[in-house]
Order: sequence, then C-alpha cells, then structure tokens
Amino acid sequence: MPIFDQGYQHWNGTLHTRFWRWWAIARRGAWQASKNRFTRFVLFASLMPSLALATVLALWGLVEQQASWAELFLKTFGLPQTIFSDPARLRNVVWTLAFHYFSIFEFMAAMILVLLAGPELISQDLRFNAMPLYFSKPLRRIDYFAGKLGVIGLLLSAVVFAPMIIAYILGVAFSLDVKVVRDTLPVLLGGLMYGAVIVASAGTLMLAVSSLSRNTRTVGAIWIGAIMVSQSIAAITNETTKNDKTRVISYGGDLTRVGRELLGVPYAAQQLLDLTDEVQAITAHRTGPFGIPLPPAPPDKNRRRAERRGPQPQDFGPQGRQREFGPLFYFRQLADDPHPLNLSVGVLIGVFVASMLLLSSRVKSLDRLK
Amino acid sequence: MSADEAMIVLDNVSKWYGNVIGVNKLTFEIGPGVTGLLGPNGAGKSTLLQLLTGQLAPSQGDLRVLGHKPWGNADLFRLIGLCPEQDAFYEWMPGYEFVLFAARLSGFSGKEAHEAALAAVELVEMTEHMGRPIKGYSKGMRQRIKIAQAVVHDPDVLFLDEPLSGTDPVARRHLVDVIKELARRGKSIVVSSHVLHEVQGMTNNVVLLNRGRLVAVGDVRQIRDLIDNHPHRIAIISPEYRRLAAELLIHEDVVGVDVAPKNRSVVIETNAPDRFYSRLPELASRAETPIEEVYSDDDNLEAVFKYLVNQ
Amino acid sequence: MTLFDLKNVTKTYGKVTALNDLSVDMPIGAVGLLGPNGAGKTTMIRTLLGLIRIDKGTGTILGFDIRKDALKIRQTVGFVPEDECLFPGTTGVEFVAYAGELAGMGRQDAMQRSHEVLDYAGLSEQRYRPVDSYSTGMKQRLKLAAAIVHDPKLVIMDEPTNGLDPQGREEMLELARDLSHNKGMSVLFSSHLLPDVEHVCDHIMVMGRGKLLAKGRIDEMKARFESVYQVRVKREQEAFAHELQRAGCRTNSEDDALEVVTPDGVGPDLIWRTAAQSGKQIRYLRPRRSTLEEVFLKALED
Repeated sequence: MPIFDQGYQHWNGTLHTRFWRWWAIARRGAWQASKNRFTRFVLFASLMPSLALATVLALWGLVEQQASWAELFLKTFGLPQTIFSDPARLRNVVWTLAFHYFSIFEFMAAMILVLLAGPELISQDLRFNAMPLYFSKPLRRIDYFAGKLGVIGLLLSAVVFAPMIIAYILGVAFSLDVKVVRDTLPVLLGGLMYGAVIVASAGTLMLAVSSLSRNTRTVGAIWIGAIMVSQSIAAITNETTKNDKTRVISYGGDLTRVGRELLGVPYAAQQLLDLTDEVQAITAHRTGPFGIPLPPAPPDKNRRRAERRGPQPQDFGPQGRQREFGPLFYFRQLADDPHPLNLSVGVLIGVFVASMLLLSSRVKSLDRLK
Repeated sequence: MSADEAMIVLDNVSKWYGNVIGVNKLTFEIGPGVTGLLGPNGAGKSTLLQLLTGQLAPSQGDLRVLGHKPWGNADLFRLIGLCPEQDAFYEWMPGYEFVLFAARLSGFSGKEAHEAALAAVELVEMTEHMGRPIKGYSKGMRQRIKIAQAVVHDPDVLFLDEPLSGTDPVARRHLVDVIKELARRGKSIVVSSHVLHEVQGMTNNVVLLNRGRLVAVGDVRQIRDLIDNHPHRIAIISPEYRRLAAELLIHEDVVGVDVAPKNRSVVIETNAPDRFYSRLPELASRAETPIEEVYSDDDNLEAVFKYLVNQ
Repeated sequence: MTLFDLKNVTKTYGKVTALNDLSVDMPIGAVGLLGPNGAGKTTMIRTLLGLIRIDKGTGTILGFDIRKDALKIRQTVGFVPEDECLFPGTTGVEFVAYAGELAGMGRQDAMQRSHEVLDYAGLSEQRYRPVDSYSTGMKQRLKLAAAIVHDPKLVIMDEPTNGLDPQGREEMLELARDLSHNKGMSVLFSSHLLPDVEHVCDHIMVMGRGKLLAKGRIDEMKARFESVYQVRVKREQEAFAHELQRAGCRTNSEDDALEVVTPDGVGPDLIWRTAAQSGKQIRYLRPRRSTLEEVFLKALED
C-alpha cells in the first residue's frame, strides 16, 4: 500500500461525443491566433468603434429622456422643436444608422482578422502533415471544418458580437423606456446575423483558400487579392456599362449589401428622407437634418432651362421624386440601394457552396490519408 | 593497412562552424571494402561526409581521398560517388533519365553514358521501372535509383548515407548483396547508418564517432577485446546450467553470474574471455556438464556501440 | 482473445487492388505486420482504424465492426504515424493534451493524462518546452504519448524507429515492448526492420499483394534444424573444420562462421570433444535456426 505504482496507469474516464470536438479545435486555434501581435492589436483597436457606438446610443438615450443639455445638443445641430418633442420617431433611424456606421468599421476589422488568423488554419496543418493526427482520432471531416470555422467565429465574437450586445445593453439602459427594446431589437438581431453571415461566408472562403497552399503567405495573398480584384472589376464594369447588376461581382460589396439589408438600413434611410421633407415643409429653410445646409436654390435661369428641358430620366429615383445632389444623395443611395440584393445573396450562396466543394476535395477524404 | 592500400586518409582534421565544433582532430584511414560510419545524432557523421565529398573545407588538418584533397576538386568527383540521405530528384524525370543525367555530369557522353546508365539501373534491379517518372516511385525504389546514380561512373570510393532507409526486406537483402559485390571489386564503400544490425550484416569494420570525436576504428571484435573495463557477458545454455555455473564460478576472472531458469541458461561475466573460453571444451566433454549452446551477446556491434557511446 | 478478425476483405483504388480477399485473425498482444512495399500494409492499417470503406467483406477489431463502428474504433485505438506531424508553437504537454481532447477527453482529464503519459514516455524533463526543439527520438516518443493518451486497447505503430539513432531506437522499442508485455495494451507494429519486430512482437503476419502470406508465432515459425549448428572458433577455423570432418561431420563455411552438420542422433558434445582434443577455443555454438528474414523471404516465395 505505501508504495504507489509510478509506471503507466490505465484511464477509465468518459469520452465526449464527437459533437463537442469542434470546440476543442476552435479553442486551440483561437488561442494560437491570439498569440500573434498584429491580431492582438486589431482586437484591441476594434474596441474604439465599439466605444463610439456605445457612446452614440447612450447619448441618444439621454436625448430621448429630454435631459436639458441634450436639448442644447439638438439646438446646436439646428433641429426643429417638433423633433425634439418626440424623439422617439427618430429612434429607429438613429439606432440603425449608428449600427450601420459601426458595422462599416467592424467589417473592416473582421476582414483584417480573417486575413491575419485565417490563412494558417488549414495550410499549416497541410504543411506540417497534421492530418493523420486529426483523422486517426474519432472525428469526422465536418467536425474538423466546423472547428476551424469556429476559430474565426471566436475571434469575430470579440470584434462583432460582443461589442454589439454590450453597446445595445448600454443604449437601452440610458433610454429608460421599455418600448426601446421593441423598436430596436431588430437592429441588434440584424447586426448579429450580419456577423454570422461574415463568419459563414468569409470564413468558409478563407478555409477553402487556406487549403490550396502550404504557404501561409500565399494563402493570404490569394484571399486579399481575389477580394480586391473582384472589387476593381465590379467598379470598372459598373462605370463602363452603367449596369447595376455588375456590382455583384464585388465580393465585399455583396457582403456589405446583405449586411445593410439585415440591419434595415434602406428602411431607416428612407424614414430619414421622409422626415427631411417634413422638416423642410415646416421650416422652409434650406437646411436638412443635423444642420447640414443644402445647396442654394438654383438661380432662375437654370430653373428656366431645367423647365424647358423638362424632367430627365436621371432626375427620377425609384420613388419618382426628384433627386437632390449633395449630402442627401448619400442617404438616397442608402435608401434606394442600387446594389441588387437578390443577386448578392445568390453570389454569396454560390461562393459558399464552391468553398465547401473545394475544401472537401483538398482535405483529402479519409480514404486517402497521406 | 599498408599506406598504398589506404584510400581515405585523415590527419588531425577538424571543422568548426563559429563556436560549434563539427569534428575534432580526426585521424584515421579507410581502405577497400565496406566500412561502417556510426555515431549518435550530432556526432559529426554528416560533417565528415561533407568533408570527404568536398562540400566543406576542413578548418584544420589534412584530408585526402584517393590521394587528392576533395575541397574544390571537381575532377575528384569522377572517382567518387555519393548517395545522400535526402531525396533531391527531378520528380518528373523517369528513373533512367536521371541516372543518364548523372552519367553525363561525370563526363560520359553518348553511347558510353547510355550503356553505363543501363548497367547501373540493372545493378539495382530497377530495369522494370526505369521508364516511369520518379514521382510515382516508392521509397525503396527511390533509394535504388539514388544508388544507381552514385555508381554509374564506376567510382573507386562510394559514400552511402542511410542507403537502406525505407526499403523492404527483399530490396534490402538485394542492396546489401550489391554493396558487398562492389566491395569485392576492390572499391572502398563508406556506409553511414543508424541501423546497426544492417551495418553488421555488411561489415565488421567500423568508424565510430561521438560528439565530433573519434571513439574507435577497426574490427568490431578487436574493439571489443580492447574494452578491458567492461566484463564480457557469455551465455551458456545447458540442462545442467547451475552445476556449470558453480564450476565456472570458482575461477577468479568470473565477476558475475545471471541465472535465467526459463531458458535454462546462465550468463557469466568475465574479465578474461580468453581463459574462460579455453575451459569450456573440457567441461563440455564431461557427461555431467554438457553444454548445448554458448554465445556472447556482447561482442556484436550494438553492444560495443552502446558501451562506447555512453562512456 | 482476438485482436482483429477480417474475412474476405477487398478494397480497390481504381485499377489497383490494395486488399485482395484478405482473411486474417490475430490474437491480442504484440503483433508484427510485415510485407514488401506495395503489399497493402498501409491500406490494412487504415482499414483497422475504420478510415476506409471496404468494397467487400466483413471484419471486427476489438469487437467493433469495421464497417459500422468506425468512430468507436478510433476511441479505443491509437495510431503513431510514420511521418512528421507536429505543429510548431506548442509545448509537449499542450500537444498531447490536444490529442486527448481530439479523442473526446475533457480539458482537465486530457491535461492530467498528458502529464502522466509524458512521464511514462520519458519526456518529463522536456514537457514544457516547444516541440520544435525536440530531437527526432523525442518527437517519436511524443507521437507515441499522443497516441496512448486516451488509454487505447490497441496502438498501431507505423515504422516507429524510422530515422532514429541507436539510442532512440532502443528507447522506442523498449516502450513498445513494455506496453505490450507488461501494461496490457496490444501493439500492431508495422516495420521493415525485422530485428525490431523480433524484439517487440510475439506474433507476425506477412502480407503480399493484398493477401495474407503467412502468420503465426515467431518462435514457432523459425524452423529448428536438427543436428545443424553454427560454430565459431578463435583461430584456425579451417583446421578445425577438417578435424570435424574426420569426426564424421559435414562442414560449410559461411562468412566467418562454420555450419556443422553432425551425424544423425549425435549432439553438440561431438563438437566439444573435437575441440578439446585439438585444443581449439569455441567462442560460439548455437543450433541453426532460421532468422526472421529467412521466414519472411520464404513466405514471399510461396
């Protein structure tokens, strides 16, 4: 009894089912990725937009509570009293647009993270011949892929999911109005779905490209190259043919288009434009919301020439309203979004399917290990 | 060996890489026949091979192969052949082309090169596969092609670095026969290997390195005899093993006995193997102490290596 | 107790038939898997790991069906691959713990076992160091540790001594032998180096062109030759050979030993008496037994 066997001992513990395997792979991958200095820097730097989002939402919450200095804040921006009396009308617009601008930064941060952490996910395993190590264990290829995708998911949780949720909670806290949740929850859910789409789409694309080469740098170059090339081609063809359908060639453009749709940005932008018209009708000043002055009224001779010419096709937007050039043009673009949605979704689905096919052919089926 | 027989001569050869010492004051000679070059990892075997094949220059000392200094001596390559450990092939080339290429590099041309290549490929029994690209070869086939390109120009000195790695027992047997045949033709073949029982199957002559220094050189059994401090272990199998042990224990040179009832054997340790062995025939002839088997598992290469390296 | 039992297993890849109506069963313990290149050993190993869908036939390993219980098989079988498979930037414990988690162990369990198993494999000094800094011998033992971390009942080792120096080889073989003989784990040892197989295994199976050529216990397969002995004397072996011939034996010189055939029914004492009479010192006398290499080559011929 007093002397204990130091040699090899048997083990009788329980083994989990393979459905947990992806978590072990994802955890380890995220740990390894976060050891990289640049990754840590990006993770840290992406806190800034998160802070900004939280601040904006909190401020708006204060505005809604009609705190006195919030009134001052509004007067500075030249908003008419009508809005001030019922800020809840603008709630959806403000929240949606705030999340929208946040998502622009987070999209970039997310892509940078995917670029930093993604290439080595599979290419390193190929280079160091780690496949026999994985596939001699009780797991299937799908668990392996899910785990690798989970690495990207975990990293993006830090830049997309968590900041959104925290900012949302802060914004609600500062509003003190329960109806806020009813109005704005769709925005949060939309944002989270957008994050999920990024993980699923950009993640699988990155995994597929990662399986193409054993050299991590080559993989990164291919991925960023493909995205930039698609963007250039889309811009060029759009300029030359003026056909909006060519915009879907840009992968990044498709992703952001779907994101905007999920956040409800076109609807919010339209609301904003409607509000602008209302305000214009009320104030008859040539200032739009937030005090941005509109361009001066066209001098008579231009108007007469325009009247002689009659309405031109480019003057009409989908709403049949006359286009206004200038800052409001931007919101008009958001509302009428020329980037086709259905085609974008189609492209993303196509890329996803192609990625999965490529992955399953590159990571050799278990039949032909080695 | 006589001075004109020695084909490789080292005199106080050392090689440094900055502060790291590759080999340290090596002095020995190698003649015709197969010589095993042995040593643990990091012993300096690869450095020595690189010095001998002219890929490195010695930092100190004099080194000659077939009378010439290998460093910067391109002509010497017609007389020596090297089969390296790593695979460095043109994967798309058929095996025959690769050997032909080697032949041409050594100075053969036209018909001569073609015949030499064919002969080399046949020697390693790869004629059947010589038309296929190397990409499709198994490890054993690659080894054989490597050996073919090393011997295609009929060199007098051959350096083989782990020549049998990856080969199956059939190919291994055959390659060992090839090596022995080449040795019989008077060539000097230096085989560097970690697989001691393979080396033992080819030769009894070894050069043993450890930590860059020369530990031992010569015939394995002679080396064993020279190791005085280490008692020889001799196994005796007999139905009367205990009585035999008792008879032998009387003598002073016996310093230890291990009894193995399962095999009906005793292993006796003695400091004077000569005297010990000379007692056996008389003992064995007696009816009460027959001896069925006697052997020493001690004077083989592995035991000698282990002892010397762990000094 | 059977380790595995295959019946009429066939597997083809396109034009190549890797396993050709293979039927074999082996008991638990230490089993050697031998065969020339291209015999189908790799395919056989993959079949035993449940990694392959076989075209025809049935089989069980440790009681599991190779067609249906693939994942369960890999929970009780460990595999030590031949090639390098270590990723950089990990320490020894992390690597083995990860292997454990991949097998389904929880994080805590995996970490605990990782330490235990690394101790057993003799890597306790190096366990916190990154695996890139390990020597070849250490890397092999690390792979073995990663294969047994989930305490499998069988560990399959594919050319485990490849590229190891003599000391590394000895350590690896000792581990394999200890696992199979003292620790109740079966070992399937696939190697071209027959002395290694002999050191570790009791049973062997020889494959060739997808079929089973021979199987059995090693000591039973090595034939005993009646009345044939290998003898070595210290000096003047030729003269001794003549003496033996005069005493009625037939002799044959091979390498540096003598093969002596004594007359029927006569044992080695004749050789001893001849030596005593002529004052020769016998340094080696053993009955001739075929080597494993001869067993192997003979199996291939059939």
